[in-house]
Amino acid sequence: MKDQHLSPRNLIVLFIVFGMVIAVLETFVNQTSDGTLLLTLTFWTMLVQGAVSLAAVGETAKGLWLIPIKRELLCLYPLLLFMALLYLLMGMRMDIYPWTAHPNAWLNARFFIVRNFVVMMLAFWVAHLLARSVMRGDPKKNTYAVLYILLFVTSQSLVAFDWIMSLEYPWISTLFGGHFFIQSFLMGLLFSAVVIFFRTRVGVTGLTETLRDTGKMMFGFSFMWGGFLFAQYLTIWYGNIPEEVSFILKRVDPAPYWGLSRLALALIFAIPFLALLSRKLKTMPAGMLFVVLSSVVGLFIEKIILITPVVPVNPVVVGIEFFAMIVLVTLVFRTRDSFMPQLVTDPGGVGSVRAPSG
Amino acid sequence: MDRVDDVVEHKKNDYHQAVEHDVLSAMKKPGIVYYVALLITGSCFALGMGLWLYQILVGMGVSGLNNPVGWGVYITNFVFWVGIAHSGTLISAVLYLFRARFRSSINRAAEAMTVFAVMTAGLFPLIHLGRSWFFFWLFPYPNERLLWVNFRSPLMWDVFAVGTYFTVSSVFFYVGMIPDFAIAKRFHNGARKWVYSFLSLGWKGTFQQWKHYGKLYMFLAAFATPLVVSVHSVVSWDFAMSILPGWHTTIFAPYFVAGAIFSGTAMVITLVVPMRKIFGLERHITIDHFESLAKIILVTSIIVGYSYLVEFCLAMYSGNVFEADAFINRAVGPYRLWYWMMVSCNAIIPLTLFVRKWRRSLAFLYVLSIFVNIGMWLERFVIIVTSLSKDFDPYSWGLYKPSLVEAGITLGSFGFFLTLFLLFAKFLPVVAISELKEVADE
Repeated sequence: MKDQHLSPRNLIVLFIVFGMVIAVLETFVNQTSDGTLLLTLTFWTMLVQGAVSLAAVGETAKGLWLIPIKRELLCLYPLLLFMALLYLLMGMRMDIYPWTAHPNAWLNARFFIVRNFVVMMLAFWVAHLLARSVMRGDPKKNTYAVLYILLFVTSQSLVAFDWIMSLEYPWISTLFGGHFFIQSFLMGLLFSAVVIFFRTRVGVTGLTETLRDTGKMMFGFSFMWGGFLFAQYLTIWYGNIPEEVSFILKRVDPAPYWGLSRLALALIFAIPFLALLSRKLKTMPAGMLFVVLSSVVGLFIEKIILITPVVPVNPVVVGIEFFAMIVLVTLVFRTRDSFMPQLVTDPGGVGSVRAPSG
Repeated sequence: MDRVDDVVEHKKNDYHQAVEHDVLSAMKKPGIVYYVALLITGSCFALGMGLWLYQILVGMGVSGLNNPVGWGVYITNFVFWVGIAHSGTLISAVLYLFRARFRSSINRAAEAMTVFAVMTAGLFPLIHLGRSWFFFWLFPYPNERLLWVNFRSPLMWDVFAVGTYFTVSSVFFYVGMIPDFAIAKRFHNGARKWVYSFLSLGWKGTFQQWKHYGKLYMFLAAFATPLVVSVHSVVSWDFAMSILPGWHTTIFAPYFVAGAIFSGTAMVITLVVPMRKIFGLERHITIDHFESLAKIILVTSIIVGYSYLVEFCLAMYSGNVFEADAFINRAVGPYRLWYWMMVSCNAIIPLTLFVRKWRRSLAFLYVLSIFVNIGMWLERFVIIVTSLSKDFDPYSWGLYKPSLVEAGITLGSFGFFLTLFLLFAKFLPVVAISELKEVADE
């Protein structure tokens, strides 16, 4: 299938159309299940920000293995704008947060919306500059990469602390922010494995080493995810303070969370850990796709576990919104030539190798 | 074409000889400066040992420890030295797995530092015990009273974590030196030749030996990497498992790991800058290597700064008066000077490394590394002392002031560490000769 072209103006029209669809769904169809939009936003922000952050980290760390897919990772950056605009819909869902009844200097609806929106917009703008400078071989690309990483960490920390943790105010876990940006980065790695799978299917060769390195990184980051989870669980379990453990108990004890929590642990940690020990599997695109599916489903279930004990979600609307997001990501990815210049030759720069076409 | 190959081969051989010459020259008979340095560090160590003996004879009252501050400088030193030990494994194992070539010039010094720092750290639980001769009670051995150690105590976890780390780090350090021992034995006579020959385990450098060596090294690197994380996580849980305000926080494990790598890397710079100058290793340990270390410092400093910020903000956010007060107390209480010095040294001053020119200035890096060492020692002191001195009940509040005995024993620990490092610099190859050759061949 030949890649289509989409002008930036049409891209914005596309965002408005998809945004309208989700807004209509949230306003007229889904009036009682308040957690649906939060689930969609959390999951997809994680994916989009994570993919761009992987490219940014690759740029600052001079990661040679990332070069063949750097352009594909960066091409998701326009979706950061879409996520920021979609986030504005959260304005009509603020009653899911218990602190709205007693707002304070940090936790008040207006500041909550403004600070997150500003950080997301800044992340979009810097990602735009980063994508452009990387593709042109501009020496400023390192500066933009560092800036983006800082914004990414800030944004994902806010997703963790503001969007999710404050659902159970005043419960706190100081590692929650770290846990979120680590799994966002993991999502970026999962996306790269998917990209390599599809590019291999259309006949692009020479991606085996990149796939193997992606597999190694996936192994490391799923391990780190497990480590961060354990560090939080152990501290809270050992402390055994009622107001802390109630958060955990609610999510691991009653049905259906008893099964879901164990399933998420198996899908995000145990299965990738065992599968990625194999050197051979890390070079097989189909095998890697299996690990990706396991991890993605696990991360989705994890979000369900975090959100639904407090606010319900509508499974049908979640399905439609996720389908819309998949279509949008696919469209942006397939039309990347319209807004992403090709990599230029820049001897000495990491982004100087022209990515294989296809 | 053959002629070009000949020239390349000739240059390679020249470089190989230069590496051997430069590194092994450092092992020659030392000059007066070396002996003076050894005398100073040895004296500090002797002073520390003398004061420890004094403490054993007189009792723990000679330290500043009191009720409620039962953990003070000794535990601060323990955490500090375990932290210092981290960068060795990071540089040796983690960077090896990441195929970061810059590690080859500094990994030996970093590994030596790791082993010596763990040995130094291991002294402090013994010193802190008071009745140090009962240290074996920490081990789970069968006894006639059927008593077991308290496995639910994080202090017990320390015994296993630090013990494992020491064992693996030592093996890693030794295995890395085997090919270099074989080179060193060629350049020495008498007893030293015999010792190097014994330590080289009959290394001939055959293809089979290199193949097995490569596999073992990779295995050890993969085994040591999770240890880097686990050891300092366990050390952090000494604090986090309690419910004391300022200690009971989930971020401690990764924050301590990042802090350990931060301080350890700074210590590598502190040690390697003079070592490079004294032994004339400028050709092999270049500014580029230091710039890479500076980048590690910068990244870990940002992580440490992020942790400070998150801890402080979430304490305020939670609305828990004890948590909030613990952090306000750090910033404006009796230990505020130490707190702000800690913040400045660890989270503000290292940000200057965003400037490339400063990352490449050895003088600047050296001064900065000392600031980081001071800052990271203060960090452990602030965490330990502020939370213990002011917990829930005003009736049990109380301040702590380290005594001269504690200060002397701390000085002694630096003396012990530096003495070991000086001996290492004279008796073992300070740079991994075989690895440098390998990098040059690539």
